[in-house]
Amino acid sequence: MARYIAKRILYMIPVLLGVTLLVFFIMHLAPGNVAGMILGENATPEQIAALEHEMGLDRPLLVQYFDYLVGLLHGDLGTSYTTGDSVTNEIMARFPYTVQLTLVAAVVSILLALPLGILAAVKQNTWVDNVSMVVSLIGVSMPIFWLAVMLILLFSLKLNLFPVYGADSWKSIVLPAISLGFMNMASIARTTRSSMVETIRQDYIRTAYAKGLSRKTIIMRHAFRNGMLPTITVIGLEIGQMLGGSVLTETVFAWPGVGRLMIQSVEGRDTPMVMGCIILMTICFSFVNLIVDLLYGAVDPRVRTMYR
Amino acid sequence: MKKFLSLKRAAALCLAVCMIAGLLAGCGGGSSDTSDGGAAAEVDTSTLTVALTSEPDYLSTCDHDSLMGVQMNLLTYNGLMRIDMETLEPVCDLAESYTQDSDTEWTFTLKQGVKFHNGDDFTADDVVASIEYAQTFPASTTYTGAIASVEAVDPYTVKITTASPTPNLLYDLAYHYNFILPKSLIESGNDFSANPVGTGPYKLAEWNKGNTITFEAFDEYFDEARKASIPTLEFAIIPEGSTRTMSLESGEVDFVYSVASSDIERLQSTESISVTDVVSVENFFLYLNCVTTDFADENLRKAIAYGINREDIVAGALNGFGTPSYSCVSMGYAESTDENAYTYDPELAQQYLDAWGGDPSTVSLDIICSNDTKTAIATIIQAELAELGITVNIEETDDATYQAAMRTTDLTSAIVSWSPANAMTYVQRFHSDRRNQTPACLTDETMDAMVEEMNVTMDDAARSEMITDIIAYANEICPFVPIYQVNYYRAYNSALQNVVCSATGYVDFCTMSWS
Amino acid sequence: MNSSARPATSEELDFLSVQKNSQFRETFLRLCQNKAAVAGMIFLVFLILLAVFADLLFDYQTTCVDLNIAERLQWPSAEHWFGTDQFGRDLLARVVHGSRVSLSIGFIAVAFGLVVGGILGAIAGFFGGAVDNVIMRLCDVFLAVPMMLMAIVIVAALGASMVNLVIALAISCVPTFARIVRSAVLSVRDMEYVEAARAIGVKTGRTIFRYILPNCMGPIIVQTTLRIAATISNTAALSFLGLGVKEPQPEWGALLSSGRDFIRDSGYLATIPGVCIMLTILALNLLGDGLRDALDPRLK
Repeated sequence: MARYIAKRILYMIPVLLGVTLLVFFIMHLAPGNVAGMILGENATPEQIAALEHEMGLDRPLLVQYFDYLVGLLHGDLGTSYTTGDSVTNEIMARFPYTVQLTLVAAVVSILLALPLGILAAVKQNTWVDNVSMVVSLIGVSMPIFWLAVMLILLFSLKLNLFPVYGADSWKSIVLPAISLGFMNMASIARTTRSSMVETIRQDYIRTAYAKGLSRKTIIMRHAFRNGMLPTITVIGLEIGQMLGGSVLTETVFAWPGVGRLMIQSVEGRDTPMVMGCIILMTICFSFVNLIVDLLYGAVDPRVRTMYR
Repeated sequence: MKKFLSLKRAAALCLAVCMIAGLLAGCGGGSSDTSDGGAAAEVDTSTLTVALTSEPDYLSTCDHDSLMGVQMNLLTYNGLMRIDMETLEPVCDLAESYTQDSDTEWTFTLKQGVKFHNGDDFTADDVVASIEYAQTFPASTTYTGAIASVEAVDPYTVKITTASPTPNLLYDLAYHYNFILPKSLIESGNDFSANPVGTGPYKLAEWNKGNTITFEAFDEYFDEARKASIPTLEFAIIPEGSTRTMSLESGEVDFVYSVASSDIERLQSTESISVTDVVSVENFFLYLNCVTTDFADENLRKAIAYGINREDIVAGALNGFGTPSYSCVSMGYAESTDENAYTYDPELAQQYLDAWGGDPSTVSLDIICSNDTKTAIATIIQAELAELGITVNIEETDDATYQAAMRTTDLTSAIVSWSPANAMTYVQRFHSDRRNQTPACLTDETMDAMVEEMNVTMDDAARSEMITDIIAYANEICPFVPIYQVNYYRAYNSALQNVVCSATGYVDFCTMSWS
Repeated sequence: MNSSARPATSEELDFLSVQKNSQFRETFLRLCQNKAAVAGMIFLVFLILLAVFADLLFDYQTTCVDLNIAERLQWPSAEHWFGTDQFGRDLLARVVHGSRVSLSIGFIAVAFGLVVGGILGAIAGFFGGAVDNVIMRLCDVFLAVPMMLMAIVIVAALGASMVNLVIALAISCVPTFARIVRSAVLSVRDMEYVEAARAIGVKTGRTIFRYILPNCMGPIIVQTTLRIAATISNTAALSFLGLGVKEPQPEWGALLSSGRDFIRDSGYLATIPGVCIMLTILALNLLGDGLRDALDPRLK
């Protein structure tokens, strides 16, 4: 088990290297002169050249990249071009908010999707099934901005239940998490449904019925547990997508997460900050996938042999 | 059986569509509900919460030249002078008084008993250290470059010598680059962005990056008249316009710095909310590269100046909330004039186009737009110039690309906005030496001579007259095409008093109080 | 066709394609029994027709580009079924022309991703070994970054334009398709009919395209419909962030996002394009699900 985890973490290193290389060079394709931006409109070409030299921007791109890597190995993500603060500080100020939002949104989408999925599977091919699936699809197809504004109008302005913006109390997270979670529940619900449908047809379920166990017990104890495997994978994937895809939610609800920071940084040509955000998100994404794989083992003993 | 099930499936689909329709109805109905309750609820008078569109990058004085950054600087720092927000004239701030000894020599007597947030006493040494510190930043050249030397004559007297006669010096000293920092912290290499220590009416309490910036009133502030009356000032970063409006309506926010134009009417008609309407000196104009493109021709520029219906632009891009502008320098300065100003006159535009003599279909007018409003403006210009046979191509870019293009003058055109504190700063940039700066990219000998003469004229009345002449001449040669002047709509809880919003874009948070 | 030399084997292989055709028909018939999928399909056909014949319905220049400030922000009426936008342009005309832009972004990006990803995946699966390793590790790199973030970086760096948008969205589809095609190829690579084809000397590329890919179309088709849906919704998200197509091109996401300021007083402006996006995505998903069921042999 430990060896398996170690192997997976080691494998993340080349992938991360690839990601940094890719993003670094894409960012350098962007127009806009960094030193000129920092110095403002009065800077002379000499001053710009001097600052470029000081920042090392006049060196070949590959050298700059390796320099960045060396810093990265020492845990130094560099200094932001736009705020002059260390990238680590800037990101770490926002990262907890991103994690909070993602986790709560994941819980929301699981709480919405699992019942829908199970219900649809149990009542397969009835109107319950159809309504559940269409409801879950509406979530994924509704423009998130639109949903967010509707939620604010209803729950904040009409009912006065939750704040419109910000991240001050537990109440603040409710609306952003609902709108983000609602977006992502479709695939979880649908996967749950199809894997449950398949499980219910298995022989051992029939056996359980034959033994005279109650329907509820069979569904919850036997079918559910075995039908969870594909669902876990999808939940993992969705959490990953939410980490990166929460930018819109963050913008509408003024949620101070990493997504918004990244958008601003991309627009400000703040390469170190963009790299930092992407690296962090990539690591999180990979860890979520790792945890998913480990959960597989916890749910399904057959999979455990794989780790050896 | 199977058919029956499929019918059910179709029924489910119908049900779903009905649900969507229901949501739509809720959305449509949104227009009729006027916010009940909301801001009328009881107000926490110890705090003022302000919604900002974007976060300032720095809280220090010399690292930025952004409106939001200056707005923050005004809270924590003071200059020797400050710009009065109502008159736009420089008045004494940390200076007690000043005398002009010759064309280039000025003596400032400083206020005594002023304290910095860290407890240091404010003296002449701090002034010398601060200005010399500012001069190390290339970006500050416009505002510190004229100063040849700063000397501390005694602890409360400073002598400033300029390289040439500089009538703008008092304005320059009120500019944020020249705000006064404690010498001890400059020397110890303090990060003034994380720790903005000055003499200002507020001091930084907490900066929660990307979220909120909180200031607390500085009890030992030197100016009793301008001492902060609200103990806590919190800025919340809310990028989305509709969210800002809704947070004001719900009472979570007390002051919205920038109201989306589509929400102005709604807020104006809400009882518990007040909306300022300040015609600013911020000018939106169509920047034209008059040096390296077709637009080197005056007639072609004027064809555009007369071919644009500014009323339509204000209506279409700003929902009617703006003031059409026809003179190259905004109206509202003492020196402003509409002599030689333009009108919307398609026939005259055609005559200028004929005078130019070229084929309008060969003109390539690529307009760089760095935000949604600018894009909307350009969209209307595009449609209107099509009637003259000129094809407009809209280039939506981000700020970085736009700034790089402006700096290298590697562009044809852009929608640009600018709001300098005074008309002199404005017209100084018409000089060909400064063609890589906002607002004009121009080479015109007559203009150069006029600006050079004005630059060294110390007599206020004579200089004002010259500025007016320069503006009239500018309108005659049309260095760019003025479009509209911004109206500042700032919305706030009606219980707030003494709300002063300057025509240059700043809000005086120190003097605000709760009724 | 190099079959003239070997008429017998050609017939033998054509037998396979006959079988494939009937399989296709069978799948289609099974799909037609699924009312939701049929509804989705009908809606999509309708949309595609709208997009193709948009110019016949509304003249692009006069209805989608020319402004009419006097008639701005009118609620839907008999004259303007969908109302007018902030520049007084007819929203119906813009939505109809917008279907062309939105659908082509979706289809072109996914087609591009499918072709590139498909070729890479087929090569990786067919050859295995080092080639497989290199291609799949590259895919891992792209898959390691959340899709939306990657698209944002690419569009922002290259500049917002329709071409760059399509490139960014296409790139984010490539690894998924590469993986699907690879595993599909792996599953049929050692099948007897493929070995037979190779044994009779059919060239590698031909083997892949003629005999392997057609037999793993199922998951690819399903993924394609779902990807188009995701691409359309991602385009809308990028438009919201100011990284969409240029004015005056009426892409749905751009219509939605320019209507967002008016959502409370002129709600139709954001709602109508929003509903169009929603219905299209819904239709694509219903069709995708239907196809999945129809193609799944276990559900026969």
